[in-house]
Amino acid sequence: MQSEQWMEKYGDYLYSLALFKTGSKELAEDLLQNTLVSALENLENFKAESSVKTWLVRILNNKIIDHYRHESVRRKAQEELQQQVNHSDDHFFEPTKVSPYHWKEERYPGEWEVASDQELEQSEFYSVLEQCLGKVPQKWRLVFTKKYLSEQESENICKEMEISPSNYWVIMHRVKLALRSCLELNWIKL
Amino acid sequence: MKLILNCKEASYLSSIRDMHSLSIGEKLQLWIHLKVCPPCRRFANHMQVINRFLQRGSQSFSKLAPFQLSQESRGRITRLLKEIEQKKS
Repeated sequence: MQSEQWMEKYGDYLYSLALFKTGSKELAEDLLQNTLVSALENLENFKAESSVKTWLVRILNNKIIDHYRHESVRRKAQEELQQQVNHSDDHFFEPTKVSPYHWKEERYPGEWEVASDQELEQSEFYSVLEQCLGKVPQKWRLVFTKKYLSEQESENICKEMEISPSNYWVIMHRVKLALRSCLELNWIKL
Repeated sequence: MKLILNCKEASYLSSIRDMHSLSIGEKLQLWIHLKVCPPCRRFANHMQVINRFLQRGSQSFSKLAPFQLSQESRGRITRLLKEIEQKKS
């Protein structure tokens, strides 16, 4: 059967993608299920010029966007609060005599020399990355994974997520700031 | 154009430079800052490491599929899909 083949070939991949983007196992399972159900129901719309995989990923991405459009209303208030708390710059920087934003001593980037001559596994990187992304707001996580997993154009992401380009760059930077410290704690020092 | 960036500005340039090419002015500002600021120099190196992993992006992710669906959920979803298929045909 069609659906068994899909599950066999693309099940784990679609699930990983959904889990990475949303950070929730239950949600990722639901999204996978809805994606495959929709695919079965719309099989006649599938055009042979794209691959089945690409087609399924596109359906999944639409499901994710739908989910957040819906969720976003409910979540908005909470999210704004979280952003202010987690991502104020004074988390990392403080004013000194010479500069208004200098690294706080306890936030100084550490020494990574040990790590740089080890062979670091891409799969290991992803599993730590997934943990670390759990600490950033949902919407930011989605913006970030769209860029680096789905390799969407920045311009496109801004449109889809309804954010301005300058907000987009700041979000990317904030996620990386948070990621770097989290990776330093959970990966480099393993 | 001011020549001296603060650490917040310098770290911003370090983290977006893999996605967005910096202007000559920005490159110069960052270069000067990194010359005199050890923590930002480290930060910039770390960004290179992280960006390298991130840039391998979707292809390696698609090959690895780093997370596996539990047997239970796999079974549940497969059964549901079969039912739908049978109804359709």
